[in-house]
Amino acid sequence: MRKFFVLMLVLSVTVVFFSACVQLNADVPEIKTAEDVLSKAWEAGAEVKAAYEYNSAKAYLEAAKHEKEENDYDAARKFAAKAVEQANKALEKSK
Amino acid sequence: MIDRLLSRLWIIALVVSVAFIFAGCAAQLTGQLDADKAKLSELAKLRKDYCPEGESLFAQAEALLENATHEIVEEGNHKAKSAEMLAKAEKLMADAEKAYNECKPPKRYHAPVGAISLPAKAYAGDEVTIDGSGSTDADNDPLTYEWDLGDGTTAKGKVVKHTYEKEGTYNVTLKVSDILYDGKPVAKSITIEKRLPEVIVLNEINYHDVNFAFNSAKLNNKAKALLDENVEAIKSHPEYKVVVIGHTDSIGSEKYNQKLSEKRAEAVKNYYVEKGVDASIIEAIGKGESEPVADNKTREGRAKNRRVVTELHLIKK
Repeated sequence: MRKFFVLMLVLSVTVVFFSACVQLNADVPEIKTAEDVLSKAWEAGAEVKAAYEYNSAKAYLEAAKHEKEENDYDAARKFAAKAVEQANKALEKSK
Repeated sequence: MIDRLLSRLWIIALVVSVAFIFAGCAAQLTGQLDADKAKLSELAKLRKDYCPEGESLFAQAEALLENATHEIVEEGNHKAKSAEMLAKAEKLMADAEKAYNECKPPKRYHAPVGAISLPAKAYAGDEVTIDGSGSTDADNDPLTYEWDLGDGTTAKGKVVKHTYEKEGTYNVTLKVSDILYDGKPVAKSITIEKRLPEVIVLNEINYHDVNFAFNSAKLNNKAKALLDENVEAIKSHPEYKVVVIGHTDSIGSEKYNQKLSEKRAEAVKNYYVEKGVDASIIEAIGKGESEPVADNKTREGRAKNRRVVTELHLIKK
């Protein structure tokens, strides 16, 4: 009986631990950043003035969101970071 | 028993076939991915930043191919979804190529116009500044500058500093370009003259010519004739300033001779000014008895030491 309770305790802690990890990994804040910068770039006319950078940012943002849905958070972060980079370039070029 | 063996063989064969089919598909997708990446590199050469439609399609194709690379190479995902991504990227690239080919530059694009600023003449061995800043572009596009300096050397940049080693006339050519157009080359010539000497010594006047009386700085006609020649030389050398130096012999005190030499130098300076030389370029100094050129113990030596020297000193830039 004692062994059973110890086993249940270890199992519970493990489940809680992995759940926390999954929750942490579920966050990709770069996606929100990319959306914000893209919005500013659009307002500055980047769709025409910086067509390549703007559309590149949009495409990478879409890829990031898709990867997040597939629970591939590493890939989501990678694409989101690229989206932020391109969005910033688009905004700079449109000023 | 044989039946059992045969049925198992059939299952093994089926599994092996399916494995081969998957391997074949994987190889096909990887090959297609590589081909599409090569196509994208080629398409990049057609890019025109004044073609927003083409730029948009190119950017989407590029991002999609990167996504496909992640799926196929990193994730090992060779399913229909990956093949679909590649097909979509190919369609985007085809549309981008069409858009770039059909795009014409907007009418607002103009060719830049070059302009050269440089001195009409300079001296061999001196650094010359050759300036293209006056070049213009009606669209305010950033410009590149390519120079042919006329002596076999070329340079790049808005302002160039160059040294011509030999005398002669050189034709300097400038070509300015923006991202779309090359401007028409413009040219200007520069004459390089022989290097000027630092100091030129003009006619000197001394006792025999001037016959300075005691405590006097009055010039006689012979002195004036020599000084008139100096005036001509001064006016034909605008690159120089004038230094007039008065000297005395050693008779009298040092303080007295210093004052006397200054008075005589000043007299010569005043003569030059009367003859039209700008006073601001003339410096009159007295050196008293400090720089004799002959022996002050003899009469002839003292006569030689009583002199006023006029020198031209090259103005340093």
